[in-house]
Amino acid sequence: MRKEMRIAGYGGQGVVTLSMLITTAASLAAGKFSVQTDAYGPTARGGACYADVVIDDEEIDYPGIIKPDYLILFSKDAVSSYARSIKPDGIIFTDPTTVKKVPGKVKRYELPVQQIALDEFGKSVFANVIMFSAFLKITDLLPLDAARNIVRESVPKKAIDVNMKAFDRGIELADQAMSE
Amino acid sequence: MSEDKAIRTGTHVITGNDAMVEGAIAAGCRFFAGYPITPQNEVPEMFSVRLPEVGGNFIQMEDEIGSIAAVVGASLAGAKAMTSTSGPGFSLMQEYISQAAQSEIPLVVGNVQRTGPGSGIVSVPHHGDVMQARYGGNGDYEIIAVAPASAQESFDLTVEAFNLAEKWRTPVIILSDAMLGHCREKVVIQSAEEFKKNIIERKIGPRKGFKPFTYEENGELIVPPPLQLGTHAFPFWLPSVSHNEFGIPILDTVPKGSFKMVKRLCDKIIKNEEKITMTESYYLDDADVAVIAYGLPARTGLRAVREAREQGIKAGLLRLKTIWPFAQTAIEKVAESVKSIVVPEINMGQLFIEIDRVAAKKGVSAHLVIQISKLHEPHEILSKIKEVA
Repeated sequence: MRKEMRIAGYGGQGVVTLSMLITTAASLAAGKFSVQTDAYGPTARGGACYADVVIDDEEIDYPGIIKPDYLILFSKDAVSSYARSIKPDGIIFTDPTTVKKVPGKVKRYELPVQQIALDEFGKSVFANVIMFSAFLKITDLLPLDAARNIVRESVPKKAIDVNMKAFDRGIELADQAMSE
Repeated sequence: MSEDKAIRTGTHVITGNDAMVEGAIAAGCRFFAGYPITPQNEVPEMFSVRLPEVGGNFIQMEDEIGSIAAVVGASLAGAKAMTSTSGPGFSLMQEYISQAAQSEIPLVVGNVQRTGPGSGIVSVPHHGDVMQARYGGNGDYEIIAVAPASAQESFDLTVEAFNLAEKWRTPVIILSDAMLGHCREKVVIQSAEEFKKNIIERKIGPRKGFKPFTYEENGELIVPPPLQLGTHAFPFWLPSVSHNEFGIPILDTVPKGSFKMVKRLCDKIIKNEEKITMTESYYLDDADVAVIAYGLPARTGLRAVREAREQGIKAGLLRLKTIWPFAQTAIEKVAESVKSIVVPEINMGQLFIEIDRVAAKKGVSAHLVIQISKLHEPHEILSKIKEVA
């Protein structure tokens, strides 16, 4: 089944990296078809940016987003630009560090991935991997083992262990969020 | 992973731009000369990494004119060669593309199109160079242009572009765009052994009796192997002026000779249209409305066709993988069986002129759906399908 998602925030927040992890895991490890596109241009660093991912069991015709099933929104601007574009039964993911309020009645998960990355892993860069596994756990979009392997393969060797821990922490976070 | 560094056998998730580079290198491209321009910068960047790995040469030139000139030279020296650019750079290259067409020099030009005219908008798609690809240079000539619609096809059709360039001895243009160039998708590359079966290698003409330019024999046009500098097959000189099939310049006192040359150059492409063009049909068997499209809009078109079918409208799609030569035969066949044709283009209607001409001849109405700087949304094409069904 076709699933569409948009990840939006500012350049440098890992918007594109997260989209690439999702599309790579879907295409290489989960045997699905996927297309990733991003807002490519001179404003990509520091300015508003987004990346779109489409995943399907069949070859993908239209490569763009028609109406997203999922939104991962990392900034207030991203919320005001895209929060209302989602399907009524979609899910929005935000981080309370950067987003407080979201309009509308769509289901939402607040995942403090930035804070966890800083407090438990010492660097905000791990927020991405934590969000990646938490997102997949909640949406049940791709097999977690496959996604875990993609993280293992896409990070430098010396950073594998810490990334695996971050990945597992994301699943824990998702479990906790879903039980609340 | 394969041992062969030129053919990266396996499954990858890469952009259209990177797929173009992998396709070129797998097809045997060993020379690239280019100049930076958005949105194709990843193409030279990746070539600069990949070519040294396979014993090829990468040169960043002073501009696009130098780039295409270097590619002409490399091809004459026996290398499969390519350059890439975007709209403004493509304009600068036209003089040498015309020259390469006239001297029948195989080469490939990637054009990752962006919004024009002029400098336009550098990072968004616009298929504004469709007519320029065909008519950009001076004089009468025909070239081949392919239009990939996915990252996989950016690989496959680049391979095909090199094959077509060798086979028909002509510049081949790859018409990509800013969005396709940056789409990340799965690209599957088969084993080197399988892959190599479909590659047309550079050939050299015979020592004796070699006619170096396309000639007619028993009413058929024969395209000889390319010229190669430093071999027995190179003629006494490379005629940049009008010439006969031996390469002897045509004097201005015998215009019949130049007529023959121009006709040969155009006929070798146009008369072989059915052999050169590549199309794909979807749901056309019982269709009342046909969407005819190329590049990414063909995928939007397919989505619209599927949605139309869900609503009980018999719609189909003809996807053009080659734009030039114009797929006259395939489009005539479609026009004979449908009531109307819908043409979505990311321009003001460039190929539409040609499609409309065929449609009118067959008594079918053709309808253009314009978009600029962005991909159509499926509903834009769907509403036109519903309107004309």
